Amino acid sequence: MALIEVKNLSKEYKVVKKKSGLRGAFAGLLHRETTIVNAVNDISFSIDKGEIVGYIGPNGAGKSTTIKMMSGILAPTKGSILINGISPQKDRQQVVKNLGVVFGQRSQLYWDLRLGESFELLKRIYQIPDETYKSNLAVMNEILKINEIIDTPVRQLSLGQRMRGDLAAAILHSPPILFLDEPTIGLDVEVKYAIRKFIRDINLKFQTTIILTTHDLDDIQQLCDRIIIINHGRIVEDGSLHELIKRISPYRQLVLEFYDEVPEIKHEKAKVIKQEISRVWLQFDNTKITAADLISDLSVNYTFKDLSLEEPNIDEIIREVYSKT
Amino acid sequence: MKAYFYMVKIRMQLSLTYRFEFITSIFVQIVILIANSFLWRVLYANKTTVSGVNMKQMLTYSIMSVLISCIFYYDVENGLRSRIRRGDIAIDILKPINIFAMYFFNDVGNALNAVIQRILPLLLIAALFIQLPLPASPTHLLLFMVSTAFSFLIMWLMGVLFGMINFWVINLGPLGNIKEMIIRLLSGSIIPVWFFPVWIQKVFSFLPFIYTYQQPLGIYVGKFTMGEALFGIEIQLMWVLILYGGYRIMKNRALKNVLIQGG
Repeated sequence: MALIEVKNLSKEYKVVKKKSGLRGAFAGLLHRETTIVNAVNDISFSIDKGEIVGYIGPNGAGKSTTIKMMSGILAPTKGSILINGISPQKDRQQVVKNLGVVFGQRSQLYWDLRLGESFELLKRIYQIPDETYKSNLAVMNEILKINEIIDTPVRQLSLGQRMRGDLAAAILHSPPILFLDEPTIGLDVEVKYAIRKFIRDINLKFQTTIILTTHDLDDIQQLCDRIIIINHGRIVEDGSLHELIKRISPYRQLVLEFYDEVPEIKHEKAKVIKQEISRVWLQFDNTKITAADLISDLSVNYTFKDLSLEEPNIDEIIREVYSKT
Repeated sequence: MKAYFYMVKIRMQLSLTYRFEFITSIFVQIVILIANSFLWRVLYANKTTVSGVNMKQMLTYSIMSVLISCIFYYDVENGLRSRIRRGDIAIDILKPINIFAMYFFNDVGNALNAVIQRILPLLLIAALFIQLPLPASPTHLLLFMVSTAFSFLIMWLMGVLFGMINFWVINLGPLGNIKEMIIRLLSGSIIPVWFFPVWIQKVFSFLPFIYTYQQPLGIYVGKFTMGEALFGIEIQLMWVLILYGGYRIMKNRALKNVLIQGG
C-alpha cells in the first residue's frame, strides 16, 4: 500500500466579496455576498515510501492548501487522505507523529530562546529517546552545521541559519514523511545548495518520503524523481520530470559559433531557429538523431570555432504547462 | 507530560528576558496598590466597620487583590488571537500534543513567575508602606490558596473560550478588553460586591465573576464563615466544570473549523 493516499480531495473556501470604499464597507455589514472558491478540486494521487515528489504550481494553485490538508491543519470539503493508513482528520495526533513539516515562511522555533532549547522542547513533545535525539543531532550537525548556531537565540539568526534550524527541528523525531513548503524561499545560493544536499542525504539515509513545493525549478530538477503539477486546483501533470520534458519539448538545441559570418546551414534533421552574426541555433529531435551524429555530419561540411548543446529550458516548459491548463 | 513541564520552564526563562516590560508593569502595580490604600482610608475615615469588615481587613483585601491579579495574567487569549491571525496556529496544530494544554502550562509558567518576580516585591512594598496583609487564620490561608487556584482556572477557562472565538471571527476587536473590564468591575477586585445592594449581590452570585477575586479575598480577610467559604469553593468548582465543558465543546469544533491565514 502507498504511504500517502489522496483520493478525490476537494477544498472549498467561502470568500466574502468586499465592495470598495466606505459605502461598500457599510453595505458589507448588512449584506454579504459570498463566492465559493475551489482551492483544490477533486485531486487524487498516491506516493510510495522513499519518493521525493516535487509539488509545483503557480501562486494560488492550491499547493499549500493540499499540504495543510495532508498534515491535518485544514479539513477537506470532500475526499479522503490516508497517511500511513490513518486519516489526519480523524486522528491528528497519530498522523503528525509521523510528519515533519517545514513552512518556508513560518518558523516553529522560539524566537527568544537558544535554538537548542526549541530542540529540547521538541524532544519532549515527540518523546524522542535520548540516543535517537543525540544521533539525529549529530547527523544534523554533519549536514547543516547545527553546532555553529545551537547556542544562538533564534532572533539573532540570519534567514539561512534559521532555515537550517527549522529543517533540523522538523526531522529530530525521525519522521518517515517530510513536507517542505517552499524551503528555499529567499535564500542565497550557498544555503540553497546546503538544503538540497540535506534533502538528498536524509532521503538516502532514512528512506524519508519527501513532498517539496517550490517555485525554484532548480530544486525540482536536482531533487525530484517525480513531479505533480497543480493548476487552478486540479492536477495537470503527474510523472517524471524527464518524461514531461521529452513530451512537451522533445527538441534540443545545438549552438554553433563561426569565425565570421554564419553560412547557410542545411541538414535534414535539424532546423535553424535563431541566427546572429556569427552564431546559429539549430533545433533537433534527439530521438531521431543523436547530438554526436549531428555534430559529425555538420563538421564535414562546415568549419566552426565552438559549439554547445542546450537542454530545453525547464522554466519555459513549466510555463507552457501552466498556460495551457 | 515532560513537554508540559518544559513549557513551564521555558516560559519562566522567557519572562526573564523582558526586563523592561517587567519594570514598567510592576511600577504601575505599586501605584495602584498605594492609590487603593488611600481610597479605603478616606472611605473608612469616620467608621470602624462597614458590612462587617473593618479598615484593616479592607486594606488587606485591596493589597491581596493587587497581588493575586499578578497570577491572573494569562497569555492564552491574546496568544490565540495573534497566532490565529498570523496563521502560526498551524505550527502548533502540527504537534502530537493537546495545544490548549500547552497554552495552559505556558500560563502556569507565567503564574509561577508572577509569584517570584511580582508578588514577593509587591508584598514587601505593601508591608513597608501600608500594612502587612495577614490572613485571618492559618486555615483561612489554606482555603484562600485552594480558592485562588480555582479562580485561576475560572479566569483561564474564560480566557481560552474568548480566545477560541477567533477561530470563527477573524477580528474580535475590543471584545476581549470589554470582558477584562467587566471582570475587573464585577469580580469585586476593586470594590467588594458586599458593598452593593442585596439584589445586585443576588444577581452576581449567579455569575462566575465574583468567584474569581471576591471569593478567595473574602476568605483571606475572614469575611466569610467557614461554612460560607467552603460553599463558595464548591460553587467555584461548579464553574470550573461548566467552563471546562464549554471548552471541550468549543475545542472540538474549533479544530474542525480551522482556517489558516495566508501561505
